[in-house]
Amino acid sequence: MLDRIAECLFWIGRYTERAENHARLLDVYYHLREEDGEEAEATWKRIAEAIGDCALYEERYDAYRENDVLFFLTLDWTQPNSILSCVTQARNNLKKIREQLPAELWNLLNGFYLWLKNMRVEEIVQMSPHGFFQGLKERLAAFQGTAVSIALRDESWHMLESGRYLERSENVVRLLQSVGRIAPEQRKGAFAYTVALLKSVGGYEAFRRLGQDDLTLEGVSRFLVLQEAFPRSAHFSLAAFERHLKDMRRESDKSGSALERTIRLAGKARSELGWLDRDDITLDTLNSVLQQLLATNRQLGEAVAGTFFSPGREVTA
Amino acid sequence: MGITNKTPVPSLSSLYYNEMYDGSQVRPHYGKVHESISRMTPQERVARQTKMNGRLLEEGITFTLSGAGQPEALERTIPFDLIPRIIPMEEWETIEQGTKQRVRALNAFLADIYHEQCILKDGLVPRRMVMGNRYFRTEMMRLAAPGGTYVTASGIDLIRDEKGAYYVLEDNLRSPSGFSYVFKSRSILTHDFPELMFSHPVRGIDRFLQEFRSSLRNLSPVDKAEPVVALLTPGSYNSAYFEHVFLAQQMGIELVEGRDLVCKDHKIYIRSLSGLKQVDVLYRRIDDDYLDPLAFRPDSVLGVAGLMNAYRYGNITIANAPGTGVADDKAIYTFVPEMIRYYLNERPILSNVPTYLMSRPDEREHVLGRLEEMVVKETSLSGGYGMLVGPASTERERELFAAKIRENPDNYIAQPTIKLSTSPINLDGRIAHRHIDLRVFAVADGASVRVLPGGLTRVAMQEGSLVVNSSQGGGVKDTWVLSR
Amino acid sequence: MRLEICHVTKYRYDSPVTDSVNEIRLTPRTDERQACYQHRLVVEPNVQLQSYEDFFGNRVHSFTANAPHSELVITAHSTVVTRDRDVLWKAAWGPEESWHRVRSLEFVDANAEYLLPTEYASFHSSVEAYAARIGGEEEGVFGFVRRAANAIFGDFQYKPLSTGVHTKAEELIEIGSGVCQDFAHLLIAVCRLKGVPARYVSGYHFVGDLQGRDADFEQASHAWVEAYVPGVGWQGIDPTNDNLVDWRYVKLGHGRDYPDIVPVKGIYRGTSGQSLHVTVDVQLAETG
Repeated sequence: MLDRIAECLFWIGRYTERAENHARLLDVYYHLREEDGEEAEATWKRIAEAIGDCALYEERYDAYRENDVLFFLTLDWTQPNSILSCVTQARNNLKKIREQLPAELWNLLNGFYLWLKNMRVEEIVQMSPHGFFQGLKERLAAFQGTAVSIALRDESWHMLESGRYLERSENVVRLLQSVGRIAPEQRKGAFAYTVALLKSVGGYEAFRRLGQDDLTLEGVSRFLVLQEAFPRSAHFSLAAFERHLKDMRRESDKSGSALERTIRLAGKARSELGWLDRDDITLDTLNSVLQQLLATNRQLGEAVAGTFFSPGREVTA
Repeated sequence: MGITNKTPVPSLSSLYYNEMYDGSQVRPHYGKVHESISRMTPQERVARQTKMNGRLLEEGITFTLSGAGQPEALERTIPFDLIPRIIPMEEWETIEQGTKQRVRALNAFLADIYHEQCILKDGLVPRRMVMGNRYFRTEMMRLAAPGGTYVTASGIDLIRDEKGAYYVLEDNLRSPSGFSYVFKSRSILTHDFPELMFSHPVRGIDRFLQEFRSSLRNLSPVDKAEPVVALLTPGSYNSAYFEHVFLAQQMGIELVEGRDLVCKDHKIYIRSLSGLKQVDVLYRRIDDDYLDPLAFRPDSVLGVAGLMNAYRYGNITIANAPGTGVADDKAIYTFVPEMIRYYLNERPILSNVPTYLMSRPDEREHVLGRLEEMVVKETSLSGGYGMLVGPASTERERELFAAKIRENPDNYIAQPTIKLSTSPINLDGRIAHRHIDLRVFAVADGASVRVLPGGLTRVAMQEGSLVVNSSQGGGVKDTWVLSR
Repeated sequence: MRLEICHVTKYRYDSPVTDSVNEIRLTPRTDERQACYQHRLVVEPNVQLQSYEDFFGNRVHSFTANAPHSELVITAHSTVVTRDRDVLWKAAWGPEESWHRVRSLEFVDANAEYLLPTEYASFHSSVEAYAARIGGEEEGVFGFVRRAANAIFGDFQYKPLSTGVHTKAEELIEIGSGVCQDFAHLLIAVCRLKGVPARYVSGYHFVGDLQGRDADFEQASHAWVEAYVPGVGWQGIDPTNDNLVDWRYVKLGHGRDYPDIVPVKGIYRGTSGQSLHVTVDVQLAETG
């Protein structure tokens, strides 16, 4: 595999995962309203904050309104974190290396991109945002499912998947951080948020099935960080990330040492989570645990780049 | 309801050959297609067409227009027409044999001029037309081309005169494109118009990719069980990138850019994460000038330095070989029928369009006497000055051009205004007639030449226009060769 | 005369570079004017050299240096015996028959590659105008070529560093000064415009024993022209010194113009910070 191909695959994994996380989060947040009512503007601001850059929003708009916020978060290609931006990035990366993955995957992702690109915010509101977010999730699931179903399990597959799982582990942390930031005295709706959080990652039923009772921010955080059986937990994601890196180990002779270091780093992060006791995560320690995880994620991202990607050589005559 | 009701075909039919109609009669091999299309309402045709266009876009069968900045409006799909072009079996037999013959003769010509130059010594082709040609590569002199094959992939453009006879308009021997459109056109018609497709005995085309792959592998300079074949692309910003991806993926060969390759001790390697992997055959889709900055343009960043020397020492095969452009030059084209007689001792099966060489005094005087009827084109000799389309020119322009021709006769050829056949197309549900041509694809290795049954039918989408190039808005049709 | 040549080309890079791919044309030719007796090439770092003869009959060596290196040194030692100028021009044909010969279709065909313009020896309008002013056709092909070399020698100033390796014939006319490479390209263009086949020659010019030459400006590496003179054949002529080629000239190779016979060229990956140091030493051997 070529370094530029590795780089594209990794980012396809990351961006499709990111788009899915955004779609899930927006779907839940959009349908979450404070029980005792809040100003409409505050609602839209809260939603904008979930994944967007409010400073950028305020530069462009004078007030938080439903259509503007929805557009900003989903369809605005000049907003680097919008769903369209993520999908465009994934699609453009795949476009550069189309021959590496089955043509069906390109057709799915490109079809998805074209559908999203031509979508207007009025249509989203008209067809119901829930239907729209559902549509996003289903299309991403179709891409992922087709990949699982037909992609060759070679190094390109592992590269794609390691991008996906690193992104997922980072997203869980950011999600928890966004809720953790709400000051205690403002946590009137904390319960609603906590449930929303759990639902956004599709973990509510899993949480219940495991007989967990503790539907508090603490309890949900423990679940999303430590639960190794739940595929969207940080623990599961890092373990999967590590496994995919290990699967690339076979043929890499020259880059072996760099890859080994990255694998050890991932293994260390995963086992540290394994050693954490549920009592290690409390409201007081949550913030530092998350900080630590975020730093680890960043380190892993850099290690992957250093191991696999082109360092930008120049050619001179 | 017949489509003749809506389109006055007869006025055109005397001037140009219509693929579907003979006067007001439908040609027999188009009977079922005619019936099917006629039965549809304009709304149905529009709906069918819209669905097909959607598939083109979704599968990303696009070419990229240059100009960065906006992410929008960069990728264009090629206009695709739902009415197929049909070639009866006997007609195809002639085209196929004629194409094979031409490709064999052109390869023999290239092998000759890069070695013994017998055809020059025997005075059949003036030496200066070859040596002075900008596509002639001195670097190729005396180098062995594996299998004697210089042109592996070629595209021969055919047109038809008012009587329906086929003529070769030009040979594309450098790095012809359009293969992917042929396969995608077929895929669309099969999936989105199956009832029409399956009511005809259409020859399949999938085998051609297998043959293309075998041809490339057979050209490996060393006898290896699993030679490494790579397609060299200028990159994802190239207008034909889709085709490069398509061919690499369908043939299961590596897709590489120049920066992915490295030359080490006169061998070319792919620089992969797990180490170096030697390339045996490079199917290149970039021009000679950019192939190797050490041998050709030093400012090129698309190629790989040292490639020519790797080729010279027999460590890699380049397909098509560098320097094939000299054989598809407009002046050299006029000699192809001679080449067929000279190298193969055969009678040419496909004719050239009548072409006058301005370096021959009698032909020059003939053309200068009727410049208003002629199209004058420049050859690949150094220093030409564009072309002249006689019927569209002013007297002043013709005078200026006549002076240029007299000054540098070697630089020009002239042809009578060409005729292209017409074919019905679906234009927003309405049936209209447009000019078409046919690019026939062939692949060659040392042992044989294989021709793709069908090819690319290109359509000039503007009424009356003769310009079929996709870069200038030309469209495509699926091309059917009937097997009985 | 027996000449000993030592030509050292040294590249130094600011930081180590890799994948250096190179081609060199530093082997003196052997022909009726000169014979190369000894030739030794040394490249540091150690590389595997391969060689071939190009279309023009020049000996070319190629090599790659893929491992990181901070310096590339190419040393060429050659021993060449040259003959003095033969009094050959007496054999040159007279005006009418020499021009008739070079304009015959058969001759044009046989020498096509040396009659067409190139990027460097271009037929720019200013070059055409310059060629038209020279005159002297009445003296025959040989007389014209000498007149043209003399005109260029007189009209342009030899000035090191006033032009670069990419200067074209018309740029010499515009600037008014240049180096041997530019003088040669202009003479080639002028000859070809008149229908006289001409080619670019690279090599060495031995001037070590001459009085009153400015050693700082005197590069032993040199370029001149060979023009085809009916009756004589390819005749070397040096527009920079207004000389016919004699025993002081050692020929490395010829081509249509400079890009055909670049003595040392290479491409590598890495820093653009490099310095080039070239020394050429030409000595008269003790014993002939």
